[in-house]
Amino acid sequence: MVATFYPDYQLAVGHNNAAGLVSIEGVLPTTDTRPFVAPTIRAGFTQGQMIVRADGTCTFVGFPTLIWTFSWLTFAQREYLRNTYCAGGWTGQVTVRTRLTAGGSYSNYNATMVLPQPSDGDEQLGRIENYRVRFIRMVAIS
Amino acid sequence: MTGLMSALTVGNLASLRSNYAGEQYLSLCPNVRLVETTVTAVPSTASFAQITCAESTWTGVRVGQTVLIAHEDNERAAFFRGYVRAQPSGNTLYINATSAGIEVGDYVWVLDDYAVHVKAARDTDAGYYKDWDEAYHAPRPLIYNLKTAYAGWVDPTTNVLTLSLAPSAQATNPDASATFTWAWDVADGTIIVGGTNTQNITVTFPATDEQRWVHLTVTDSVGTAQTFHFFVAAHDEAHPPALGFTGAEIVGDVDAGWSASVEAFTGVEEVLDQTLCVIWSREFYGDIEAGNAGGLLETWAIEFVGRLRKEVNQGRSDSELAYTAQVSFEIEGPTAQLARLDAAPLALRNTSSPAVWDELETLTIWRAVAHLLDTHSTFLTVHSLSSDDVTDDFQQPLLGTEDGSLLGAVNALGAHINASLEFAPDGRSLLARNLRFGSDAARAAATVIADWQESDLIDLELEHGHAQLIGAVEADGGCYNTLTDAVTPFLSLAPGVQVGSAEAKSALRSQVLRRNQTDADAQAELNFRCGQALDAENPHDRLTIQFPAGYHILIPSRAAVHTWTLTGDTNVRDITLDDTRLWLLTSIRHWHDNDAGTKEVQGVFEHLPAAAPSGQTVTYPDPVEISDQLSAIPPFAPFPAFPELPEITLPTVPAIGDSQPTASVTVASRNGNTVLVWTDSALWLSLNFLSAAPTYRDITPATGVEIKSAQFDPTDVNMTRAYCLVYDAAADESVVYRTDNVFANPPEWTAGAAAIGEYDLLRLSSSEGELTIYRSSEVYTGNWSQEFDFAYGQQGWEPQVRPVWGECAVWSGNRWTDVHVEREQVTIIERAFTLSPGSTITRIYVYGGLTSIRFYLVFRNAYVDLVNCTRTSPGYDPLEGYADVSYDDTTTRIGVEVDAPEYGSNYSYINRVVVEGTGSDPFAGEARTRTSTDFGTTWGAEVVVGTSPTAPGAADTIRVGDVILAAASEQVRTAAIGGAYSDETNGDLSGADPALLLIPLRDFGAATKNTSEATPEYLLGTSDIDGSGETLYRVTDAGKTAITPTISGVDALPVGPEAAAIPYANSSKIALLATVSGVVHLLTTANGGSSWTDRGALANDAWSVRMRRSDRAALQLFIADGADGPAYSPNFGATIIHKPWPSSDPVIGCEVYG
Repeated sequence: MVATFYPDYQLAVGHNNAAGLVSIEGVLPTTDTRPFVAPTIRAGFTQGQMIVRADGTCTFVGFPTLIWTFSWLTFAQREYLRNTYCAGGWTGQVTVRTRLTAGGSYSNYNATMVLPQPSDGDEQLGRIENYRVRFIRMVAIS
Repeated sequence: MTGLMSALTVGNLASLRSNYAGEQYLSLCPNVRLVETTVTAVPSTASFAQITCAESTWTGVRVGQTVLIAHEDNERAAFFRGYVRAQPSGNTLYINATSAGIEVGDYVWVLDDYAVHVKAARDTDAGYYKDWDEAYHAPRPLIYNLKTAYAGWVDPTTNVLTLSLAPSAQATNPDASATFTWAWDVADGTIIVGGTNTQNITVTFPATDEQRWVHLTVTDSVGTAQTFHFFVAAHDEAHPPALGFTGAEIVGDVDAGWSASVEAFTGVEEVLDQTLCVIWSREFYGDIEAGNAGGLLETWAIEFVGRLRKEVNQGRSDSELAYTAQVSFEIEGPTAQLARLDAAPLALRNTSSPAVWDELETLTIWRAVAHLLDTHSTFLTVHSLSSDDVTDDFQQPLLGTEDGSLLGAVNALGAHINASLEFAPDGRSLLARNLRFGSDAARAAATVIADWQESDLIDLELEHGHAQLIGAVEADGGCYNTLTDAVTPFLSLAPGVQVGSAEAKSALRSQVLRRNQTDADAQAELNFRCGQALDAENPHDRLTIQFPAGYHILIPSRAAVHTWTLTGDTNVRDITLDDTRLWLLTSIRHWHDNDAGTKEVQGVFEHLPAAAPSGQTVTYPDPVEISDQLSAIPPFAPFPAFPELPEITLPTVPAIGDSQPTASVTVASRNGNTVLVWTDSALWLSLNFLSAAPTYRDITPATGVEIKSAQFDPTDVNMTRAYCLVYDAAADESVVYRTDNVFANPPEWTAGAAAIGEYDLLRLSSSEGELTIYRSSEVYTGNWSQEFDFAYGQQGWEPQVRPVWGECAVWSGNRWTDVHVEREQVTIIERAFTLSPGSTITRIYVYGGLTSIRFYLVFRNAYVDLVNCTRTSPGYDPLEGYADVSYDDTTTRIGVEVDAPEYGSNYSYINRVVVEGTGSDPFAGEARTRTSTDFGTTWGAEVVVGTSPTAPGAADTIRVGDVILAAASEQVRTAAIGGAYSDETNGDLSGADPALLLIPLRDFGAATKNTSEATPEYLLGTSDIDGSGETLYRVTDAGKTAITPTISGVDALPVGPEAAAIPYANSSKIALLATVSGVVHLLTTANGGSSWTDRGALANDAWSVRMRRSDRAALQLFIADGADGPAYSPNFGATIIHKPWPSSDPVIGCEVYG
């Protein structure tokens, strides 16, 4: 059994797949010996592009984006993310359950998950540190 | 009908002002190949509209689908792109007319795709067709409120895309009601609300690779149907839209229409040229998906529908990625598609019972546009069209369409009422009147899309011009009176006689004013438009706005308005705007950012001020400066002739202060109803000749005379003047009667001067008031008169030659001069003649001038003083006098003699001699003409054409210009009208005389005008089969071309000088009355006489055939069918309808008005 601290950070393959959501902390890739650490969303959320209207009011345009930061990830875990959610590539459509801000509430979203390419990661011996998984095109679903 | 965009609600505006995010997708029509086959046979004709293929099953093929033909097995190499014009049959594929070099073995594909293609018209002997062989039918209804394409994701729960469709229709046929029947073919869709025959349906579609086209057929109450095709793309993850594209840049402009550009990086290898593209989006306003946001947008908004127009493939080397390739596509909207399609120029005619193409009942601008688009393109089958004016207000009897592009032709029609074609990005179109020409009330009543606030913009640019660019606008227009079938023209000038501050001037041409108005109201309407045109031509405040994302939904239009409320804080000049100032959105441009899901949106607005002051009335110019029809362009054959550019139909520079001739005009129908018909003793006017039982008004100008000819005067701006040539046998003189209003009841006829002798033909020239009468050499008995006016040549007179002195007078070219003898009575000039026994010369006039003494007349040793010709002292004044003689000798010479004038004086001359007598005219045997330049009031001298041809001879004047052709013995003679004749170069005959001369308006078989030429082309018919075995020729500069018609191998002989008609609209057509074996037949040709069609026998005394000048379709014939009375053919002789007439005497002439 895997202990989870933030069970509501969940992922599922494809859009509108709330039924398939699985806590990321509860995932133990078969080729690995360690489960995922809980991601953090601190400083990871962007509502969209902020524009200032002529009357001084501001608004946001574009879709929200969110970054899950894993303090570290094994290579096997990265391959798990690629193979499970990105069909072996670096991006894929997912249903994600997350909160957007620290202290915020959890909701489900359709999103496109974008994984860092190796050249963008801080790869160390046996692990990748500060692995930043981006969710773009986030649309809240029920 | 509705506009392209409705006013935004409060809820809509709240949504727009909230956050925005959007996903943009691109769906491509898969162009499913329904048939792939090869060509097995191609017609050998220059153009054709069908090919024979190996295929014979044609599964799934429908009319309208796209056809590709290529020399190789590669669709992208297609050299022909057309459409299926009729359902294939057997191995025959019916395509649009083409002259493409299709060869046996070529590859053919029929795609499941419907596009905008041009349709060609075809005018043949068998009839006038659209789209190769489509016979005339009533106009089809318009279908609107449907997009050209729909696209979206299927619902993840139901796995179908659901569309609710609510189309509308508008009958273009005035005889049809607003009731329609509806027939849906939804392909693989399932109708869940409504049925296949209900107007509105809700339908679901599954996601497929093939996608589908949906078809709606709407039938109006008289049974005419139109079918509309639209594309529906339903996607799921297994059948996604094209995803290898960047976000699109889309531009919409009220004039240029819509276009887009995208860049693709993958997945486009197999995409065909001109593939249908649908750019659509899923959008969120305030985090709420559109469709749930107060109706602001549909769930799947169509941002643009168009077709690939151009691609640019690019490859770039990259230091990290080595090489990247991408392709950019330009996508054209319907505006650009229409702008590159050819428009055949048409002459549209208003008629109560249309029977041939281009005839329309209640011809209004919107009906003309619908007709043009429907009969010359497939546009209305894939783009919905509505009009903000579907009334009968803007009716005209004739409308010409412009040569050039189809879009240009449509907008040129719209310009008659200040309208143009506007488009929505989803493919819908609207014929919309420009609010800049609307009244204050119209502007106030216009749809206000929104009152925008400062919260609706990010950046602004307010441009205000300080100077006017246009100082004056000239306008012309016309008001159609449906009762009289006439257009009254008007002119206007804005701001007025005193122009504005700017130097440049502009024009507002051919305005179609509301029908059936009083002159004052019509003038006021034109003045108003003229004033607005001046305002429209000058700069207006221009507001360029950078909107937040989401505002791309706006549609530019000149038929809807916006307002802006901005404080002075928004600009340095402290300009404030409020909702009383109206703005027109003229363009919008937006770029989609796929990464962020946002857009940049820029809109341009132009200020719409209150209505400007009206222009000033301009009095209409002199009648000779204007043509008789508003909006008319020269007639032409729709195909294959290539007509010259339209003429300007109204004066460009009206002369202020000229008289206004339109105040008391009485006019009649110009559709064939107004006809003069005559026998040899009565002349009638009918105003309803086309009806089954026309009524006639007896307008015979005189009794006891023989009516020779009657004509309407086309040079009369009021179109009311008419002439009638009569012969008074008792007095042996001919008279032309003139009435200035033949439509008055009764008309008031004025007799002109008598011309001695029996003249048979009356010909008008293009100079108003100029008439010419012609006679051949009938042996006239009774009182006769012969005038020898030396201004027209020597006319058989010769100088007497004396020893030592030589010639006693010198021929100077227009008179005898240097008349000299040495104080003796000597014959100066003389002329041979033969006086028949029992005939007498009774008086001889001599006109000239001598410096002294007097004229004498000499009849061979009998000297007679000329009365009033004795000069008592030398002087230079002209002398003229006469002598009464009684001369019945058979001596064959007559001379003019003088008594001792001063030798060598140039002031001694003789310029005219007139000989009168009784009995037989000794000078007969000559054909002659006389010309009047004052409406027949007086006549110029008799001019000898030459030795007379077989009676009655022939003559004709050029339509515009100064040439007359007249028949002499075995020779056509030519002259400047009223001048001396000479042989026409190609007018010689042998063994026959000219019996028919007809100068057509245009050169044979061409659109080129046959006017204002010294040697015009003409039709020459002979009095008998000539030495070459011919009876009819086309004569051009290149010589005579025999076009003798035959029936059963027997040459047909023209019956006389009035036996042929050539329409103004098509000089390849000739209608001819000719006799074969003693039977008169009507023969017609549509190819200049290369082949003839025998339309059947007429009465043996059938004498004349006429066509109406403004018969653009060149179909109506009016026949004087002798004992069988007047006859009419609506179809160039295919059917002949005899009309009753109020007499039992043979009808010898008819003349049609207009």
